[in-house]
Amino acid sequence: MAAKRQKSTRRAVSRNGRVTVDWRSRIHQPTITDPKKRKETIDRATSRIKTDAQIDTITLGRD
Amino acid sequence: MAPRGRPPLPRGVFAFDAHDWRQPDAVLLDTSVVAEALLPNQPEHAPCAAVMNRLAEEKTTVIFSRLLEIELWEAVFNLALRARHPRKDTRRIRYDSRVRRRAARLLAGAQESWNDLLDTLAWSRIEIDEVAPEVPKLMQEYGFQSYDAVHAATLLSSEVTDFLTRDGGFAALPPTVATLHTTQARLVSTRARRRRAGY
Repeated sequence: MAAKRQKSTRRAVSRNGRVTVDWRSRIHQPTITDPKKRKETIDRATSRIKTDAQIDTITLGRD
Repeated sequence: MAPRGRPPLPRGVFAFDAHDWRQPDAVLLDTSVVAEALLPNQPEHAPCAAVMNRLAEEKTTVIFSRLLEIELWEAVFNLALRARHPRKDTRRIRYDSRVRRRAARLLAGAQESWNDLLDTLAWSRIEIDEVAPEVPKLMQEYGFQSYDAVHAATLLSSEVTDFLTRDGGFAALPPTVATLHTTQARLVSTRARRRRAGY
């Protein structure tokens, strides 16, 4: 049986030696495009989590 | 009264909640903005939730590291710890099993909210392993902690220069590679950090 083909890498190295990633070829387009439904969805997403507690979201509450 | 003296140098730092904010075509998202947007009780929730609406309306492409999602779950878990133990060090109460039910509820809500948000955005996710080779170099050059270095490596590897973040620590990156978009409340301090970094 042929060896399992290795998954192709999506990164490359540019001329300055830095890793570059092709993110443009895998953009997910929004599935909700109706302006009213979009606003409702974002409003719901940003109000769902109910708690009185607060954390520092820069340190992720690790402090 | 008109402001006196020279206007402050922008130093590649702008406020995304300012009325004259110029919205880029593509931005890298940091966890601190998403977490603040999804958690209604946070002090900068309103500007962060509003910018999510703007990104969706203007069809700005949002790029983010897989690490953002993992950090978001971490933030929400710590929120559950904080809710039960408001005054204790979270590192000491991490394994309190009484927190788990609340944490499960908050984590489920956060995952649902994040998925809802993605449904409204044009987005591209970059995996950690794609940028991992850049991380040690960024830690060495700028003193970043490993997770901040992952976000910085994601920015540099994507060749996008606009970075939506509330974390002033990224001011260590030169303005030529990172235009920072933060809240008005953090604008002055982030520009000051850029100045201190020599830019």
